[in-house]
Amino acid sequence: MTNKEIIQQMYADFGQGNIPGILNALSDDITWDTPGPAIINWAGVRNGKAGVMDFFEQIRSSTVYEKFEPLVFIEEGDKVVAHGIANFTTTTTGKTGVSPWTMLWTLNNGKALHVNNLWDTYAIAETFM
Amino acid sequence: MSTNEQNLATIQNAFQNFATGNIPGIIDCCTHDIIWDAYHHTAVPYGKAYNGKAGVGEFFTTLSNNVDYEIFEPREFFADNDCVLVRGYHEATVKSTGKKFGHDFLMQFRMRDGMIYYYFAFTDSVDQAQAFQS
Repeated sequence: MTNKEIIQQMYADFGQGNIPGILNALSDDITWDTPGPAIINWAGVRNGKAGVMDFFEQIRSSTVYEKFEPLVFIEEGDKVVAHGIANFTTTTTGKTGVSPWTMLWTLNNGKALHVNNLWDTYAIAETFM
Repeated sequence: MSTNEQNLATIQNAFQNFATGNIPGIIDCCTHDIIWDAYHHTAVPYGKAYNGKAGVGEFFTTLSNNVDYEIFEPREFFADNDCVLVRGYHEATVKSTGKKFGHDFLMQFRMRDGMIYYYFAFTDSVDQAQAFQS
């Protein structure tokens, strides 16, 4: 598999709720970086697979995605950029939101080593208030 | 040059033009029906969609009226077919509040016949909005 195919498979796994499939594609020393204010319970930097499991647990406890659609994947060397859009409900408040997103993945030997998640943090933070 | 290389060169040139303040040089690379967009927020004067070359000009005027850039660094360029993505870091002071924002960005450009027809800036909208709020 190319790096792009590895990342595309992770989004397919996410769409099916297959979190173990995602974890399997990660390096043990993954850095999972999601900038954003503390009110967004899934924002912040997490390390290792345990950190990533915590990330998905926080997502599960607060967010339902009505749509989570990757639109573009670009591979360049050890980097893959994914870009898409999500419609979501923050279940703790019942508020809905829309955010285009991008994620920049860095891979090493076929495993994801680092991801930087960029979201509309302002729009998302408002759904938590 | 391949399409990817041509698109990449156009965008790299646009960033060079931004660095030297040559805004007309950037507008020259846009189609007449360009959509120039970002995360929308009422606190940020340029956090909205602009249309057409005049809209792009208005964006840059609004930007320069409102913020002083200390750092604007495109660091990585990605090109694939009609899409060019640029990842970088920017840091600026909001003139009205004196507050700073600084975070990674990712800018998406969609290209048609060597021209930009769509732009979207992915920034940390909370960080930016807070710098505009006193």
